[in-house]
Amino acid sequence: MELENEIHYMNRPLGQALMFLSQGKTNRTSRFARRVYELHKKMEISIEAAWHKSLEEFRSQWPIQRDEWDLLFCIGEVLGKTDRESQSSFLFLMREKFAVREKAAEEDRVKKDKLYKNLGALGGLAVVLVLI
Amino acid sequence: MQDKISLKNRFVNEVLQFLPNRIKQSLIKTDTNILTELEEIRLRSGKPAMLHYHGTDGFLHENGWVLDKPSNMFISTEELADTVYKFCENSWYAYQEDISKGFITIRGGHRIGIVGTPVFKNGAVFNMRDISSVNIRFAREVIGCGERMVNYLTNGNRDIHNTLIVSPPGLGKTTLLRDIIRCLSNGFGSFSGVKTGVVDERGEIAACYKGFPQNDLGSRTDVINGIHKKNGMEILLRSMSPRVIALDEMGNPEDVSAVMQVINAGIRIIGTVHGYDLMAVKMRRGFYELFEDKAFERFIIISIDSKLQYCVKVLDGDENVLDVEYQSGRKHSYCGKFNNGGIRILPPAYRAGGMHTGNTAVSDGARK
Repeated sequence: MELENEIHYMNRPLGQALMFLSQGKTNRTSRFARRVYELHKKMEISIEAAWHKSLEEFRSQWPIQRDEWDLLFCIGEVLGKTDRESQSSFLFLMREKFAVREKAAEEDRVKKDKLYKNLGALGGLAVVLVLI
Repeated sequence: MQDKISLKNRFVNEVLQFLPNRIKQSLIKTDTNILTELEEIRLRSGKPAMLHYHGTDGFLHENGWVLDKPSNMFISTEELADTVYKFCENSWYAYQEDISKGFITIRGGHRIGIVGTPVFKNGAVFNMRDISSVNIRFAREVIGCGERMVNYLTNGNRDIHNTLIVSPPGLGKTTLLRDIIRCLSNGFGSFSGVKTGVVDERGEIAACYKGFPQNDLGSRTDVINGIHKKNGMEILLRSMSPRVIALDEMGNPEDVSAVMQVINAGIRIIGTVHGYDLMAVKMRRGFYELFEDKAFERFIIISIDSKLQYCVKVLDGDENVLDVEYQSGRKHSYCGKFNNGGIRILPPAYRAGGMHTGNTAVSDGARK
């Protein structure tokens, strides 16, 4: 969302936008933005390459599914390569996709939560029956 | 004053990093004398890279030589697109307005001209696809080139005359304007500096990069960048209350009428216009009214004759000649001042076999 603002309203180049996003913050997203910026500047690689490299580095720290990683990789491939409107609509689309994934994950969690509760109750009943 | 090493470093830091790897490797091997005299690098799809320096041009060889005949180091369309993408800081969207106008300005004030197939939206150029040519033009300030002429533009210690600089393309009217702005802003002799506003529509005067003017325009100068002259002048008037407004390449009748309004508001104007002489400018739409109203009190006419001798002439509002300065050639900033410069040519001895491989020492021409 913030990156979208930086691109659409501030029209900042990606390097600057990522630097702004990382300044004065310590959350995961900011750390990631800072890492992309650092790799882009220090190693003189493209934003796309820096984005992918940073994702690899952060893979172990983020508990997300494979299809979500694919979406994040996809963002790196498109960032900066189209005009402003297309960038905004692409980022909006990505947000929608993540929202769908989040909803599905939440539903899955509720379903599994119920399943484990039932399993727990049944297991308890079985133990009682065995003891009797 | 910039020496050759600092000019080369500037070239390496500001431009070389964006070029295709093959070109970069080749340019690293190129003679420093050529690199420091570079005016343009032209990259064309399917053609070898061409260097323009010292009023001549040559084709880049993979060993760093500059040949008179096309080399076999052809540039691919992909390399060209990638180069432009790098110049855009990996952010095409951030430069899309500039690209639609055909150029972008990078750090150092260098201008990257881009042509290809324009993409239209609502009847206006919106983007550029299939980039076919890129022209990298090196920005160089010529500090001091306006010091003599600026004396004729002042009106007392704190005021100046409305001035129009007329010149054909490529003779240095923007360079002269830039130095005049610097002088007026900083002040000189008994003239106290004045608040100067610059409408830099094409980014050529100040060459702003991330809001920071890359060229020295003086301490009392405010720059509005990348905006139409009419709108820029209105904003400057409202927000910065300048005493003088400077603008480059007037030509649009809308700009000209806006200039009239600014003059009527009591603000002084210094502008430039493409033209070979005053008569040709007078005939243009919009300018006729300005001349009728005697809006300009000083004219600076730059011309060049067949002997490559530059002539800078100052006229008053009635077109009486106040001063004429002859210059035998433009010199870059590291060479010192604009005047007293000898035209520098590459001696034929150094061009044996059409190849500049050795130390291409330069010499003063006969017309000094």
